[in-house]
Amino acid sequence: MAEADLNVLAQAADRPPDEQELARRAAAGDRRAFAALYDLHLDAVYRYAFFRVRSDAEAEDVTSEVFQRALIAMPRYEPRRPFLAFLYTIARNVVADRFRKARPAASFEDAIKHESDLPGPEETSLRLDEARRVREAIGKLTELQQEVIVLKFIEGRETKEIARITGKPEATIRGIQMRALAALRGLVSLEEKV
Amino acid sequence: MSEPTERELHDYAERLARFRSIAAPAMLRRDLRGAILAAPYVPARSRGTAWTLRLRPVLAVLVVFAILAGGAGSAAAGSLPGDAAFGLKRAVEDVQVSLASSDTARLDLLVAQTDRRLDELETLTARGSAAVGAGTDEYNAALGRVQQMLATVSSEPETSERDAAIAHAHTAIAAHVTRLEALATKLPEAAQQGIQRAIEAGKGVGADKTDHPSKPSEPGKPSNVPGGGPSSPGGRPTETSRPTPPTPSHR
Repeated sequence: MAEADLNVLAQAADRPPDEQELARRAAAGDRRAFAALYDLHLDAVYRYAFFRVRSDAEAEDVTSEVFQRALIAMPRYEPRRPFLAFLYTIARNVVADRFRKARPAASFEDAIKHESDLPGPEETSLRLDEARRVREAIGKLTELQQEVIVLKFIEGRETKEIARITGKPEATIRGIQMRALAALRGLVSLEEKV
Repeated sequence: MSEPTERELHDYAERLARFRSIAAPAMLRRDLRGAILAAPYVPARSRGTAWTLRLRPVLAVLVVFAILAGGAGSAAAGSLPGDAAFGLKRAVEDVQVSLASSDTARLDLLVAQTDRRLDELETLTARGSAAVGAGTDEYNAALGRVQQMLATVSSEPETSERDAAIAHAHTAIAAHVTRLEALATKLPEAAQQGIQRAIEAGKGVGADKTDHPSKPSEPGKPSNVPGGGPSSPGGRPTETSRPTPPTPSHR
């Protein structure tokens, strides 16, 4: 159904769906256009949430909240801005809000032990287990290091884009990249092949 | 422990990148998408302040809890447009729609809501209530949601369930036009504009009845629905009326 919607929109415009055009329509209240943007970016938002919070269930909650907030904020969205950057900014805020409200008694390790009962991401269990170990380690880094690890090394975003999302100078992001990577490597090893 | 070499960090970064293949769970993907498509459109001009925007989702949850815990459900269920409890009724309806299992189920729910709005409008008219204008506005808004969902459902692959839901929607709205025309003769001048808009919009939906449900409406055809929803899809009416789907009690 997701692809069908994209196709309908593409046919209507007689060209591949253009994100700016979709965003313009979504801002005007076109739910199908917003759904097409959702189809394009759901996995990226979910992965960001997955590696920034403590459990699979929390990642799902954050993902839902991000799109809910985005839907509400659409009339104020500036279409020239990349839509994914807009979503990452919301996701950052949602995660930050959650950590502010989190009870100090609930440790990261405790949360890891109580994973969601719902099915996890559609991946092999081995990779998922490894991803959860990495998530635990990422949680021990500073907030900016976490952002850099997730956005730069897992999601492959440009330094310039990360700087815009985090509100930090590009030089700061560039300077922290290798340190963040080394810090994570010191915390968790990764199998050569999963 | 010695500092990692650049090569080692590069290898490590490459291994991290393989997590890019992790995808959102299918259940989340489906449910969230359904909720997005069913979310009622609120025009920007009536969206209110930043505070109300932030509070809206919280209020929606609170409303549902209040209804469940406080026994306000029965009061809300019998409320009419203009009543204080009517907002609760609408909030519950929106939640029901967002939790529906498919677009066709959502369409059925939205059609049932227009039935309810029309019943309420008839009650208000019979009572000579000053809230008939609000009742007409509520009906028009409900009809707009039906037409938007009709457009969504008509773009989905053909199934007997989909075609039946589209046909049911067209039949129901065509029947509404007759009732609305009868109502129009009883309404005061002030409420005429709203009801004429509803009749016109209803006829627009009914006019597409002669087409096959799977045949999309003419591209670029303007909407007749107040609020400017997408153009209506076609649909063949059936003689049998579909029952209203049960309200989902849980996700």
